[in-house]
Amino acid sequence: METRQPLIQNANGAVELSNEEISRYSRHLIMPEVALEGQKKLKQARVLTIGAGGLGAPLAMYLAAAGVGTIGVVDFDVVDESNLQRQIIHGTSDVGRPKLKSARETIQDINPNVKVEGFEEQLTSENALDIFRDFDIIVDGTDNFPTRYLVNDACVLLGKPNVYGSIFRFEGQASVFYAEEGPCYRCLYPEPPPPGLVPSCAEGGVLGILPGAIGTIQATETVKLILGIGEPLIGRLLLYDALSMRFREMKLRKNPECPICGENRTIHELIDYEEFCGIPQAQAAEQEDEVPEITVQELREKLNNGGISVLDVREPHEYEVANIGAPLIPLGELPERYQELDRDEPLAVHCKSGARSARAVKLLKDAGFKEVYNVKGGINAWSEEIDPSVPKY
Amino acid sequence: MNGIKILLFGAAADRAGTRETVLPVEEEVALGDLWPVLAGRYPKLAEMQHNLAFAVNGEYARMEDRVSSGDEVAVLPPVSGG
Repeated sequence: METRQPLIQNANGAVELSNEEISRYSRHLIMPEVALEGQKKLKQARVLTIGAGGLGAPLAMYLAAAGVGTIGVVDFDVVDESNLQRQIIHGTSDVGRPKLKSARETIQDINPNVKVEGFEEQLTSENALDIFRDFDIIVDGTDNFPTRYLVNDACVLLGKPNVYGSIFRFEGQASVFYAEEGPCYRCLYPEPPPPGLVPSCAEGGVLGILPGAIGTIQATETVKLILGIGEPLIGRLLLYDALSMRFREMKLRKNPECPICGENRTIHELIDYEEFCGIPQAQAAEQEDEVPEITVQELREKLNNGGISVLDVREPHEYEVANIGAPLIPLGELPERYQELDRDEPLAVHCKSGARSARAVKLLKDAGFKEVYNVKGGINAWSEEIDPSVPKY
Repeated sequence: MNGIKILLFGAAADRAGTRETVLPVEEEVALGDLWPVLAGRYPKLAEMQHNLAFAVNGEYARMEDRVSSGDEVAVLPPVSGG
């Protein structure tokens, strides 16, 4: 039944299944592609999931249900209300608790035979190799570029498969980057995008079900690699579009000049990935570009005294969710519409959390506005500190 | 079909405001020569140039690879969300 070398070999003898496990895995055991030997391989396997978020949630739950013996989870975050729309490993009662605790409880409830190894810390160049070394497969469910390049490089250096997935709004990607047999993530994207060029899920939004589709593809690929069955996604990038409900596939090639998996590789150890992705440089530039700010408390005081007007630069669909009654000119329309405002009057500009309004303040100052402030923390800060009847989103 | 069909994904589709377009290119050109035509049509795409991956007819392609009328070019920005 094997179509390739399974990642776990000769599980026979090393592990046994109890009668409870045999009943539990019945639907696996009656398929010759898995059978008793395959189920033992799953039990012997050690899989590390990076992140217990959107992708990590379905991934860890299905791997647990499938009987993967040891699941490692790296996450140092706390469950937030805004996670619940997609991170189904956490429930409403988990809000405010460490994701690792909540994930561990869910996994143990699904399958108490699974051993969970938790790493409640940020994955860094200092700890990645030590954490990865004892696992057979690494599954990348992170939400940022520095960690994605770190996971890729650590996997290449250790010769381990990186089961990759990523999501954006209604679209997802999945692949298996396994430099021993095919291309790595750097062969596809040699250079990371500068900060801000590609929106994150927090900025661009994501359909809650989407990570379910991509995370289960990653879980499927993980199980196939362990068992050595079927055709893995090595050398192929799978693209999923939920809106058109279409899967596409791109054949990838190993880049002979890849700095980490190419013939003349120049990277022999982990580097500083924040630096590589331009994060400190962007923060420094942001500080230089600093615009005048006003806190929500100061704004309330000024509003009570009647000495300032407020402008909202979010999108109309956001205005519908929550607003504080300020006139709306979306940031994209501001260059054509700022004449509607009085440039001699003090003006406070807000958005959701302060990034878009900072750009608006810069634009207005350049257009000759004399006294214009960025509302620090945006409407979410207003909701938290001034008026809780305004919903926070 | 005359011209080269362009498929845009993720943030590239958002910037262009469309997921699909056709560039009226008749002779065979390098992918690198096609780019300015596309970025000219959708100027907001321009700053993504060095961070995009391209595929021609379903296969990863480099800027020096040739494309001609009837080909399908996919424009794939990196995605970090998880």
